[in-house]
Amino acid sequence: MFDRTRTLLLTGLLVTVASCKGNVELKTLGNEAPSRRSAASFVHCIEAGTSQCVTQENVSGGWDAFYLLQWMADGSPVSVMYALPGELAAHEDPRMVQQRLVGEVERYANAVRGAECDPVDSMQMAPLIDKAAQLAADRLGRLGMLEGSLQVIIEGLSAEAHEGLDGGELVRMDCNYDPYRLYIATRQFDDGVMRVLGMSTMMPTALGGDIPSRDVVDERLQSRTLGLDNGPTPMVDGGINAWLPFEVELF
Amino acid sequence: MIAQLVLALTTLLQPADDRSASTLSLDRITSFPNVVVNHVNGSIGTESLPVGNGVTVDPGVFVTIGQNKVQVFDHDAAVLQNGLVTDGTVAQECRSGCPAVLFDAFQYEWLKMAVEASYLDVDIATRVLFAADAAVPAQTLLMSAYAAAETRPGAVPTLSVLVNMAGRGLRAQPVFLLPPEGLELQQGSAALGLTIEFDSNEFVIRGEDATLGRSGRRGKSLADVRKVLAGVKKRHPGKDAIILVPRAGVTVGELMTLVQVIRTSYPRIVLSLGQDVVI
Repeated sequence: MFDRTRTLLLTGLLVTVASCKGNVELKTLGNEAPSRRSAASFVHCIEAGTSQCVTQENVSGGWDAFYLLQWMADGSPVSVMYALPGELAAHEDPRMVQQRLVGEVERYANAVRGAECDPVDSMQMAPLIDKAAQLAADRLGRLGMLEGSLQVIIEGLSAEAHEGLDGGELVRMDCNYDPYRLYIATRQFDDGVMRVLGMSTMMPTALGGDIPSRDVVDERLQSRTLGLDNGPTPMVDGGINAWLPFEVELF
Repeated sequence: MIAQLVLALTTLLQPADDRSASTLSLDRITSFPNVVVNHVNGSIGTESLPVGNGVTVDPGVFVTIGQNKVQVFDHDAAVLQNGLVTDGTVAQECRSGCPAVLFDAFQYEWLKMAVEASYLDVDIATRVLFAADAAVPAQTLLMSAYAAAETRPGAVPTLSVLVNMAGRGLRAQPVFLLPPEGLELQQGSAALGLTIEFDSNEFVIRGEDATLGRSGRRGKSLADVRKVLAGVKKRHPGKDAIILVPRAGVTVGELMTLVQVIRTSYPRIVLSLGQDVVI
C-alpha cells in the first residue's frame, strides 16, 4: 500500500516536472487516480504560461489516430470526404502530429488559464478506440463512403491508436469558463512516467461526450480560441445585405 | 502498422481509374450527391422529396426533414410530429423567432464544425442543403433554414432545397432568406419587392407596381399566378427576385411547385416566414 502511494506521488511529481519546463508553481493535487492527477498537472502547466507542456517525444500518433477515428465517426461527413486524404497524409508525418497537439494546447492556453478546470471523470482508452472505429465504419458504410481502402485505413488507425493509448485513460475535466470541457488522454509509460498524449475540447456523445448548453455553445463560438470571425456578418459587394447578396436593382 | 496505413492511404489516393493523379479526394471514389442520396434513402426516401428540376448538388451541410425528425448530416437534431416541431419554445437569440430546439441543434453542429476546423485542416461549410419530405409543412423548412443560417459563425451560408428530378436524381434549388428582422430599403432604391403570400386556396401577389394595387392581386391557381407575373415581368423586365411567404399549412411540395412555376422568370427565390419588407 505504501509503495503504491509512493508511486502515485512520484508519478504526479514526474508528470509535472516532465511536462513543464518553465518555473512553475506546483499546486497540490488531490488524492486522485494518476490519470486525473496528470491531466490536472498538465492543465496547471498550461495555466502557468509555458507553451512547452507537450512532451517533445513523438508519442502522440496514437492520439492523432484516435482523433481521426472519432472525427470519421461523428464529424462532418463533407469534411471527411474532402479532407481525409490530406489529414491521413499529415498523420503520417510525426512533426505534423506533434504540431497539431502543440497547436491545440496553444490555441486554448489563454482560455484555460482562467477557466478553473478540474478532473471529474475518466474512461479507459482501449474500449473508446474500439467504439470509435466501429462507429466510423458503420457510419461511413451507411453513407456509402466505406469504399476503396477506407476499411483498411480505419483498422490501421484503430491499431495505431491502441498501440499508443492502450492502458491509458481519457480524463474529462469540467471548467467553469470557456472552453468548459477538456478531454485529456494520458498513459503511463514503461519508465513510470505518466504522459499527456492528447487534448480535445469536445467528444462525440457516443464516446462519452455531452451536448453543451446553448449559453456554452454561444460563448464558445464567440471566444477567440476558435479564431472565428465574430464581427458583423460580412456583405457581398453590391449586395442588398448579408442575406440577399445581389443588387437591389434586381429586387 | 504504419506501413499498412501508408499502403492503404496510397491506394486511397490513387483510385484505380487514375493511378498517376495527384488530387487527393475521397470524392473520386464516391460522390457527394451519392452520400446525400444514401442518407436520404435511409431516412425519408428520395421519393418523398418534392419533384422538380434544379442545379447540380454541391457539397455542404445536408439537413433532412421528415415527418418525425430533423437531422443535420446523420445526427438527430429535433423531434417532429407530423412534420411540426413539438416544442415550440422560441430561442431568444433567434432573431427570426425560430424554435429553440432547432436553434440549439444547428448552433451545436456549427460549433462541432468549428472545433474540427481548428484541429484539422478543414473549412467550415458555407452551404446548407435541405432534403425535406414534400408533405412536411413549409414553415418547418423555413424555421430550420433560418436556424441554420442565423447560427453559422461568420457569413450567412448559401441555401438550397433538394428536389428529385426524374432520371437525373437529386438537384438543388438555390434559395435566399429575407433577413430575420425584415428588410427596409431606402427611398429611391427602385425596388419592386415582388411578393407572393399563399396557401392551398389563394395566392396574393404584392409589390411596388401600380397594377398590383395596395392590397395586391389575388389568384386561385398557379395559372392565375403565372398570368399576373407575366404582366409584372413585362413592366419590370430587370427584376428577377421574388419573395415567397408560405402560410401555415402549406407543404414543402406546394412551395416547391410554386418555385418551379416562377423560377424561369424570377430565378432569385427569397423565402420568408412573414418578415416585413418596407420600401
